Amino acid sequence: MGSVLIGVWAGIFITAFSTGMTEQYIQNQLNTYVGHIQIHNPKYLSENLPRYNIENPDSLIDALKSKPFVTHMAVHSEVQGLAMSSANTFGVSITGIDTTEEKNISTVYRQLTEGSYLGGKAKNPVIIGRELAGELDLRLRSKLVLNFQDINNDISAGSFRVVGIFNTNNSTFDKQNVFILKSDLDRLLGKSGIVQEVVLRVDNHKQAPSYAQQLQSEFPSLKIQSWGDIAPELRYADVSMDYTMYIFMGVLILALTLGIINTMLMAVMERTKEIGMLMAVGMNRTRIFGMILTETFYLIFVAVPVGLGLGWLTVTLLAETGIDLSAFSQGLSAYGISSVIYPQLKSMHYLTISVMMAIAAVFASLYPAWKALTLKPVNAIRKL
Amino acid sequence: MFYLKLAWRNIWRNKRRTMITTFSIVLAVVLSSFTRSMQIGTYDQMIQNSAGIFTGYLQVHQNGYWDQPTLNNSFAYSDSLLSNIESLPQVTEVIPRLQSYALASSAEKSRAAMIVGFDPKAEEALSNPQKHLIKGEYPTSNNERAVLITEGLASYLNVTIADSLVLLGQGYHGMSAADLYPIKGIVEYGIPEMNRGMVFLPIEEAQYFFGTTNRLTAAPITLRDAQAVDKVQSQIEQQLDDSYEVMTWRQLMPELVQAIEADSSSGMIILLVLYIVIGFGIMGTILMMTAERQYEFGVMLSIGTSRFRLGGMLLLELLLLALLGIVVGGLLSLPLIWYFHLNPIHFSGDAASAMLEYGMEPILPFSTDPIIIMGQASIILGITALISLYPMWHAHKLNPIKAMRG
Repeated sequence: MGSVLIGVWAGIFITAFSTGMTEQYIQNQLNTYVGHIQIHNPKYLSENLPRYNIENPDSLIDALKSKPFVTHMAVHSEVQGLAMSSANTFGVSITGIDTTEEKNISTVYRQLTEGSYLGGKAKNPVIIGRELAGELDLRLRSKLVLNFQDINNDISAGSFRVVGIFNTNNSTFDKQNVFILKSDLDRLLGKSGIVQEVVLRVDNHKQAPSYAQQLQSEFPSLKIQSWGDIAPELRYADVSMDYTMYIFMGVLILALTLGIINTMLMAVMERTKEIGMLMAVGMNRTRIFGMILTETFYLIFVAVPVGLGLGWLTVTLLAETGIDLSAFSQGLSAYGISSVIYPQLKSMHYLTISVMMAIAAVFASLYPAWKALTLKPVNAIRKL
Repeated sequence: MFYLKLAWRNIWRNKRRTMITTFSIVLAVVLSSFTRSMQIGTYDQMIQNSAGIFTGYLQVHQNGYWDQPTLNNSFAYSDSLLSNIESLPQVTEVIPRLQSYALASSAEKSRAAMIVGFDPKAEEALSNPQKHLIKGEYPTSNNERAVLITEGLASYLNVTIADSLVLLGQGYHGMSAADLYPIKGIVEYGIPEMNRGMVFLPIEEAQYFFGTTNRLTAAPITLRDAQAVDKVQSQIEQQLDDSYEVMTWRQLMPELVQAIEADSSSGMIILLVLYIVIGFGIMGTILMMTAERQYEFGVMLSIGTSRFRLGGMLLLELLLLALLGIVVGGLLSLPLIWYFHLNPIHFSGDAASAMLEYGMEPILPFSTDPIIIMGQASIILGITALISLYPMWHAHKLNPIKAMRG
């Protein structure tokens, strides 16, 4: 019963592959810059002025620390401003970070193509994206002036030195963001310990919307968003993949069912003589029907576990080594996916898929079994 | 010739067996065409959503504009230039645009915005601000002193219709450009980058504002058939001299091309698995067929048919079946795909709202490009040919005595 085995295997493999790919894409983006949940002063989101900061950040931070689902947290000071080099001027978002906290939230420190992360000996360090470096014609150790409004709406400016250049695969992000030390930015903004943004990592990113809602009701004066609201394109990637998966599973089950019907039908035809003989010696139709169904059950009992084992083996092996897609496309990394895909599947899904395939197989055997009943014993015994 | 006749007769000798085997091939063609057409349809939708909303399938610029998109790289508008392009059979519309950046200010705040000098009539074919109008009215002429602004900009600046908008920027060859316009309407686009900061200004007014007289920065082109883009590109290039550049959406939006490639490679893997499943379906029927005809093969071998010829006959039979299968499968796929093309699958619930938020229609479209069916049909033919190696090998190894006894 090769087709059932292959069906179970294919179902498991495809689901694991697609899940792996989408998860990888989303995780990449979340880990780079979005985080799972972001907290702002609601006015900051519409006006983008640093004076709309989070009031009493300490009590908020303490409250968040006591939440069991919050795994990591980073507080940022942030301001929109102009980055000026001798060559050009460009509008950027300037984020003040604490290097130890930030490493738990964002992978930018691992995506440096040149130089090093903030926190070295250099005074007033800044790291910038590769795209911005091109736009402003900046190199390592170049000087960059950041110009923005402080919390009193007065113009403030500081001179920074480029210590690192990052490339996150997201060109828009790399063009519009620079990172400096929080202490440096706080000083220029005119108030130490000021917080415009809190970024959270939670235990399960799928749960982030409900956690965000829970936090929102606790802190009604703040705006608390989960990653789907911050980056709708990620939510779109998430749900549209699910949807195409369902349709493809439908196609797969259809292919499997009709494949089984075909093979079983042929098998029944081939056994015309045998079945005719059984009828002639007095076995009734219910029993013949039952016999063929039981045969199918036996086959399923062998094929499903073997397919399951094979699927599990494939997924487990490939989860280690990964599937290299670079042969198919150079576009993946630019899209924010690495070209090696690591399939993954929850144990629950192994079960669902096997059960689904088994049910499809039982249904598929009904028609051939019924067809066997319509044989006429006399015709059946007569040789073709 | 004799073996062809024999193969033909063998096929029709046991009609039921033929039907079942053919059916498995038909099914393979239909299912793989269905899947592929869904994948390609999604890419077409991605292209349509990006190219068809603002950029167009092709754009004509002054040579060098794309590298340095400034007003100084604009070109002089002439009716003959655009009407020559418009007369090409595939071209539906040539849309004149003058595009640059300026600071848009209300009484309280300002933000850098993209100023699009547009022809209200022609623009309906592309970004269609009229359809996206959520408040106010649409300008009627090319020289009306009025602007449309996007919803994101309006709410940031805290302005609404009938308020004034100050535009401050740099015009042609460094001239300063400043003026004040009444806001006539507010438009809303699903794509966040578009909705953030765009100002539509009727084109003659924009040319006056930037001091470019009759110049344009870009002329996007819409096509009847997106597939013809390369052909139209070379046709336009022949008409124009070196001082222009003609670019397709592939060159204008390399990130979209990459996104499609990325998705396409995962689509390949999915198709590959589908081929394995349907390949096994076909193999099941062919194995059964071989087992059923043991006796017949034994007889043929004993009366002196060479193993080579027996194998050849089987190959012919299966190829005939495969041809029949893919032709019927292809013909059946047509109405199926056409049906889903006209009545695409609608997303519901979370998926639909996520797509709408992203500015996409929440449907799963199907492509009706006949190449897809032909391509899938030939792949299935290849798979069947590969599977037919088994019965040939079987005929090669068969022991006639055992076969006839069984």
